[in-house]
Amino acid sequence: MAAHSGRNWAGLMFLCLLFVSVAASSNVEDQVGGFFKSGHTNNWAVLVCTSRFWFNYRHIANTLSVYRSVKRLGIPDSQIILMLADDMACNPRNPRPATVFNNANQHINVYGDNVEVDYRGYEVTVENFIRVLTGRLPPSTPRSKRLLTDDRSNVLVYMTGHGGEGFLKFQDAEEISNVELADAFQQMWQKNRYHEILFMIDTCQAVSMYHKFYSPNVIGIGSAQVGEDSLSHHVDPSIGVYIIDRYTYYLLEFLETVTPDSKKTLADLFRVCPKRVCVSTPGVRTDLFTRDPNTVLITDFFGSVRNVEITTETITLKRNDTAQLCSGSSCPGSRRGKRRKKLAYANQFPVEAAYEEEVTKPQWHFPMYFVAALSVFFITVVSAFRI
Amino acid sequence: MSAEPRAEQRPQFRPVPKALKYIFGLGLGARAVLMSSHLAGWLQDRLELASPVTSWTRMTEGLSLLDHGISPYEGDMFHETPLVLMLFYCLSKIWGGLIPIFFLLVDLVTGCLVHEVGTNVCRHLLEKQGRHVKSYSTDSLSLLLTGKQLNSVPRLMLGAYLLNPLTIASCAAYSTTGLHNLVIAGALLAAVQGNRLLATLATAVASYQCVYPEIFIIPVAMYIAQLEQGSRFSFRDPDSRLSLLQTAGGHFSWLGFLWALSFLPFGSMDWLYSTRGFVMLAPDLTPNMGLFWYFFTEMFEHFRIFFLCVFQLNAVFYVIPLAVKLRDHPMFHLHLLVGLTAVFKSYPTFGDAALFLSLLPVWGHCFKYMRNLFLVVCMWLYSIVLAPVLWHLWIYYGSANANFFYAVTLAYATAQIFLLTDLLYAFLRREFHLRHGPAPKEGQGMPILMNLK
Repeated sequence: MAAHSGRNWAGLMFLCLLFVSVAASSNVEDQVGGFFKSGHTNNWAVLVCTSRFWFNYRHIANTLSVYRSVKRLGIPDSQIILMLADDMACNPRNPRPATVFNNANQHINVYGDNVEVDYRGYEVTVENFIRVLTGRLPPSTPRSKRLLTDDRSNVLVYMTGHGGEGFLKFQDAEEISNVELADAFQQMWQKNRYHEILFMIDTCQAVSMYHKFYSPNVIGIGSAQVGEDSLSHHVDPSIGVYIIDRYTYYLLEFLETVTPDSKKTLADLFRVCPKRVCVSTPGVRTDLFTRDPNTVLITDFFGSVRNVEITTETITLKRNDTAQLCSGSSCPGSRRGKRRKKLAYANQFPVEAAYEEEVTKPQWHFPMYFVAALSVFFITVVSAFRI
Repeated sequence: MSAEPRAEQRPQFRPVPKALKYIFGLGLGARAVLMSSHLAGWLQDRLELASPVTSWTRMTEGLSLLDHGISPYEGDMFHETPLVLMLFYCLSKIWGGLIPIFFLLVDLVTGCLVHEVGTNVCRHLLEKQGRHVKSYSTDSLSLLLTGKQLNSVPRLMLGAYLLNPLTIASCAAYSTTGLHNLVIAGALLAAVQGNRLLATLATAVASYQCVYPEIFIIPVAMYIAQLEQGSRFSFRDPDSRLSLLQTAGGHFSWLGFLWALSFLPFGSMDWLYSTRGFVMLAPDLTPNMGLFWYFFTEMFEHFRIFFLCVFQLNAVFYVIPLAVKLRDHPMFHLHLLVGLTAVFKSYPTFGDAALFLSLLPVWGHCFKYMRNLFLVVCMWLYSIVLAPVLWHLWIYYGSANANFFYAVTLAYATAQIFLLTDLLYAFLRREFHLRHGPAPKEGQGMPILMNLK
C-alpha cells in the first residue's frame, strides 16, 4: 500500500513537474510571441519647432529636449527629422554661445556636440513639412532630409510653436491648418508610410490640431484645450526669456524616468502634466487607435527598442515557408574547413583590394603579323634609301 | 623617274667641329639637368608644352591601359598614333630609364637633321642664285649670297634648335612634340635632297604623325618637279603634271602603308578617329596655346561645324596663294608652311614654334628688310613669360579670367604671324631688289617706296 502511494506521489510529482515545465515553456513561447506583438519594426521621429526670434527661445528648447530624450532612448539621427526654425545656440543674443538649456539651473545642454538639425532656419516651411511627411521631395534631397518610413514604422510627430484654433503658425509668415495636417496623415496612411503615429503638440489651443484626423492608428496629445493657452514654465533671468513650456517641462521630467527597458505605458504619458501644474488641460485623442493605450509601451514611440534577450531555452518556431533548410556545411557560403575570420567592419572602399594586385603580366602583346609587317616596311624604306 | 643621283646624298662622316660639340654638349646637358630636377614633373603638365595630343601623362595612361589589355583609343584620353604608342611600349618594357634617353636622342637627331637642312638649303640657294644671276640687276652685287656668309648658317640652326629654351623645356616635359619636330625636320631634309621616294616617305611620316604636314606635299611636289624639269616646269606642262601626280601618289601610298601598319596592332581603325579625327574636329576645349578653344567654348552647337571648317581651312588654305606667289621658291614656301602650321594648328605647343625659329637662320639674308623684328621679339618674349603667369592667376588665384590667358595666346599667335608675314615681305622685297637694284628709282629719279600688297 505504501509503495502504491509512493508511486502515486511520484506520478503526481511527475505530472506537476510536467505541468510546470509546460507552463514555463509556454511562458517562454509567450515571451517570444510578445516580441512580435507590437507590430512595428522601426521608429522614426519628426520634431518640429515652428517659431523663430529670440523671444521664442522656449520652443527651440522644447524641441531639442524631446530630441535629446528620443535619442537617449535609442532612435538614431538617421531616423530623426529635426526641424528648427531659428538658431538659438549661435544667436548673437545668446550669452552662452553654442548652448541651449531647458532649465534655469543649466543642468543639461540640449544643444550638445551631436545635434543634427535636418531643416534649419527658413527651410522650416509648411510645404517642406508636408513634403517630408508625404515623401514627395525633389530627387536631389539627401537621405537625411527624407522620412523614409514604411508600413512597419512607428512615427512620433512633435510640434511646438504658436497656434490657434485649427492652425499652427510657421515662422510668422504662414500657417498649417488642422485639415491640411489630417490630409497629410491620410496620405501617409494611403502610401503605407506609417504603422502608428503618436502626434504631440505643445501650443495654445493645441487639441484643435488633432480634431480633424481621420486616419487609423493615430494618437493625438495636445497640451491645451480649445480656448486655453499653453503657458511657459519659467524665465531664465540671465537670458531674459522663458526657456521651456510647462507641458514639455513635465513631459521631460516624466521622460527622464523612462529607460529603454521601461514598462511604462501610454496611459502614464496621458497623465503627465495635470491641470494643477500645467494650468492648461492637456487633451488626448485615442479613438483612431486600435490598441489599448494601457498596453502600449512608451518606448514603442519614444525609443527604438530592439528586443534582444539571451535565452538558454530551446524555442520552437513555426516555419512559414516550405523552403529547404540547410544545416552546417551544406548551407551556401559556409566556411567549412576554413578558419573563420574575425568579424570586423567591412572595408569602406572595397575597390582597394583590386588595386592591391599588381599587374604582373601584361595583357597585351605585339601581334606577330604586326612585327612581320613592320620589318617589311623597314626593309622597303632601307632599300628606298639605297636607291 | 628618280632625280639624278648626287654624291652629296650619301651620308659622309665628317669630323665634328668644336663649335658643334659645344652646342651638342650644352643643349643635351641642359635637357638632362632639367629632366633630372624636380621641375620635370611640373613641366609635364604644363599646357604650353604638352597638348592633349603630345602630353606624356596621357602616354603613360595609354601604356598602362595597354598593359591591362584595353585599347587606349576606346576613350577620349589618348591621341597619339599607334606606331608611337608601340615604340614607347617597347621602350618601357625593355627598361624604364630608356625614356629620357630616347627623348634626348630625339632632340639630338632633330638637331642633326636641322643642321643638314641648313647645309642643303644653303647649297640649294647658292645653286639657284648661280642659275638666275644673269637676270639680276648689276647694282645688286652686294645683295648676293656668298659661301662665306652661309658658312655659319647650319651651326646657327643647330644652336637655334638645341639651345632654344622652348625645346629644352619641351624635351624635359617628355612631350612628343620633339618627335613631331623630328619627323617634320626629316621631311624638310628629304624634300631638299630631292629624292622623290625618300621625300614622299618623309612627308607621309610627318603627316601621319601630325596631320597638318599633308600640305607640305604641294611645295615638295613642285620642288621635285622643278628639279626634274628644270626651266621647262609649268603647271600646264603634262610632264610637270605627271611629276606632281607621281609625288602626290607616292605620298599617299606611303601614308596608306603606314595606316595599314597602324591597323595591325589592334585590328581596327579606331585610332584614326582618336588621332586625325581629334586634331581635325578639336573636341577637347581645355585651354592651350592655340586659337580654337576660346571660340569653341562659347559657340552654339548649331554653328560648330561651320566654324570648325573655317578654322581648319584657315590652317591649311595659305598653301595655295603661297604656291602661286612663291612658285619659284618652293623651299621658302615649305619653311613658311612649317611656321604657319605651328600657329594655326588646333593644339599647338611651344615646341612647334621653336622648330620654325630654328629654320630662320637660313633666311638670315632677308633680315635686313624685315620691319617688325623688334616688335616680334618683344611680343614673343612677353607671351612666353606671361602665359604661365596669367594661367596661374586665372586658375589658382582666381583674380584673372579666361580672357587674360587668351589675350596672351593671341599675342603669341600675333607674334608668330608678324614674323611670318614680315619674313615673306622681306624675302619678296629682296627678290625685287635683286632684279632692280638695291635703291631703285623711278623715271624721274625719285626713290620708290616698297609696300607689300
